[in-house]
Amino acid sequence: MYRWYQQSECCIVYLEDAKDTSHSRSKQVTFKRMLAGSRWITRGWTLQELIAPPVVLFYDSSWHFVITKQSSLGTIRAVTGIPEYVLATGDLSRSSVAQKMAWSANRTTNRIEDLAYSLLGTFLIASMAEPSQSLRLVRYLSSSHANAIRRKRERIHEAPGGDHAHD
Amino acid sequence: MRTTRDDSIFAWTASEGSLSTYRGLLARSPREFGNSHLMTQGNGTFATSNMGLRVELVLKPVMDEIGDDNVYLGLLNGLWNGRSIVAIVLRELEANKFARVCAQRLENVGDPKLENFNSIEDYTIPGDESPTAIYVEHKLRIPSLFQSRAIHAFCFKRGLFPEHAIPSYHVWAMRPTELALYGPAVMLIPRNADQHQHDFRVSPNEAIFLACVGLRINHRDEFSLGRSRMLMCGYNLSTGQAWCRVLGNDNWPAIGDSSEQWQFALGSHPVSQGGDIEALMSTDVAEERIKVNIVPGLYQDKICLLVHIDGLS
Repeated sequence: MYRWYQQSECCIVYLEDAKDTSHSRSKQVTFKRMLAGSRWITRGWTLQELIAPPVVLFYDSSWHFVITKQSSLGTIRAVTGIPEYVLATGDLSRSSVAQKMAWSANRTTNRIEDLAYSLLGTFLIASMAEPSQSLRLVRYLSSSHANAIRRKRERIHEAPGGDHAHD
Repeated sequence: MRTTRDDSIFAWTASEGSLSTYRGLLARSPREFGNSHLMTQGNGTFATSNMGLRVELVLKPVMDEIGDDNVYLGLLNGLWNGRSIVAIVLRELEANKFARVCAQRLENVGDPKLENFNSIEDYTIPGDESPTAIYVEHKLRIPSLFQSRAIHAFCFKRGLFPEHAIPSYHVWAMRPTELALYGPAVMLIPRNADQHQHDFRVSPNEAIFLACVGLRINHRDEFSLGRSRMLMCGYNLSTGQAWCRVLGNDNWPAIGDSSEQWQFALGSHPVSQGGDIEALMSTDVAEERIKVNIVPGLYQDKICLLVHIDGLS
């Protein structure tokens, strides 16, 4: 998934709850307020939408173009804590596991393993070849949640290489 | 885990922690990395094994405020902000087996480029600089002979052998009342002399904490109503030893009696000085038998003395 975003020409982000009510003359100030108050920024899955694509175009709730990622790196860093280098290049090789986890710390998903998968997208698919390694990380991330483990195991069994009895 | 050497994966902080709160090496949620934005990559050696995570870390013995033994700083290879050495606090459970304690913080043990690099010497004892291989289980198990001077509480639990559970009891009263929690029954152990100002200060020796638990028989029979037994639990704060004893029919005060009465009764009685981790009492009532034993264990991540009482409901 991460690679899919990385190889995209451009990614359009529609901030469904962002309205330009500030009438500020500074585009960055307006965008900062929109981004910090948006639901989009709190979701787990959207972290890779922000980091991976070389071009991200942000639109507000009435589909007015707001700004591009490349021209608002400092603003995005201020809101998310993600370094400008990472936002600009999508290169995660210099970032520590702790940093990548920290960017996800305040993001929520409906289910714990969704969070695990969204982290996976960001950290692992980019650096890991083997999907089995990724599944191991899912196991770690959701290990304190018995239900999540159960659901995840079901999913592992459904994965290619697992039980094909129902195919 | 197998493909990364980045030991910043251990650089998380819990929302709460203490010397008696035991955790593994892995975070439970990305939320616990919320303060780790400045942690850079480290080149560590770690792997999963059949004894839990195996990690090689430089260990520095720590002199903590309680004086609990076997507390160490484990130095991570990742740096804070690319400059300062970061350590986690570890407690040895048995040879080479550890738990993370004080997980609410990461220890910043100085900046190698600055003059205050020696700050680590302020609270550690000079030791070996080469890494030691340690093991940390993800689901921690506390060895039965484990002792600590930083025990959080006595937790009263149903015994492990229900076949001995005749008759059954419930906890109906505890002293000291200020430190007692009910449902499930827990008696908090005061941390130091300042917190020792409770109503049941029966020991003349500050270092010994005593707790009395009233057990009442669950009986439909009206004749048995009100009959109860008292269990005394002791803990020595300077050695970490624990003991228990079911009080007999001698002239013990009632559990609700004044502190002065209890002080007088316990006075130089052996139970206020030490004893066994197991207690068994047979009474004049043939079917009544109380069997108690104490084992160290975790309750809500806190290191506790689990007091197993057979037949406790």
